[in-house]
Amino acid sequence: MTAVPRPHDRPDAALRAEALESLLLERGLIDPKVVDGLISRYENDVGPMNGARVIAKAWTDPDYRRRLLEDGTAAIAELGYSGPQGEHIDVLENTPTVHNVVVCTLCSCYPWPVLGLPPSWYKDPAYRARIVREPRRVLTEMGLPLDGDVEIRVWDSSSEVRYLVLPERPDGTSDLSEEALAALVTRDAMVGVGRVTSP
Amino acid sequence: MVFEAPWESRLFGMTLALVEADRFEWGAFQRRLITAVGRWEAEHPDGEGYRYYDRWAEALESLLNDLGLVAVETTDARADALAARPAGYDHGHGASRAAHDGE
Repeated sequence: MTAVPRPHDRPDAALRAEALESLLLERGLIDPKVVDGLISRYENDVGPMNGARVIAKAWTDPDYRRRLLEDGTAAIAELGYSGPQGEHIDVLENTPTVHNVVVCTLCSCYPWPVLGLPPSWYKDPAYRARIVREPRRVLTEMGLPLDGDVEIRVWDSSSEVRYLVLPERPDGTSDLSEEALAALVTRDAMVGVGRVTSP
Repeated sequence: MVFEAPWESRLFGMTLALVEADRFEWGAFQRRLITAVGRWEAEHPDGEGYRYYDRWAEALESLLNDLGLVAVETTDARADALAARPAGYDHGHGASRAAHDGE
């Protein structure tokens, strides 16, 4: 690999991005409509509401739950969610004794089709390093203190496999519809740094 | 908020568009991103001042450079030219069409 000057040495990242895009356009390497469409898609259409529908269905349909835990990618695709960074999604079931939490220690791998793009804290060096070293403490700091007898499993995402946490269904929600349940499910709960609470 | 600034969304969008156009595979970009993130972290053990999309830009620029698609020096020169636009020019952060119209 050739040595390349690094952008952080340069003052204006916005200007550099503009320069690069103008060159790619001139050379016919990208279509601006495609770029606009992709941005709009990930700003508006692909996000945690997709994953929330998957979770709500798993809570209300035992057969779907079984399929989801056996083959997450296929069960998620049943609801129409697939695409980049969703080629292989494993679903991790939280129980009263096991809590799963997801990280990408090397960069920012994340299951885009069900959660959209990752939040800043997920990409931050502090979270990526500390959730592996001291998960109980980090979860407490993030507002999720867990009892000492709950086993915490930390899953490191990779280009091969992404993870979606299936949180526990909160008590007192037996009369809620699938749609109402989906509205309760948060992004943080599906990454494993939060839990779903009753309305 | 998905992106903290418009230029971040432009970088994201152009990278995905290049993958969709088969200019390179996502995996090739991701390896560059891991390298860029790892190098920054080695140089900044306290993690202060981290900007994810700076690392993304570094990864994309180095990949495009090595694939012979856009040399880093060419981007340098274009950025300098854009910076030299007269005061009052609609800077249009991330709006590359403004750059086009100005040429």
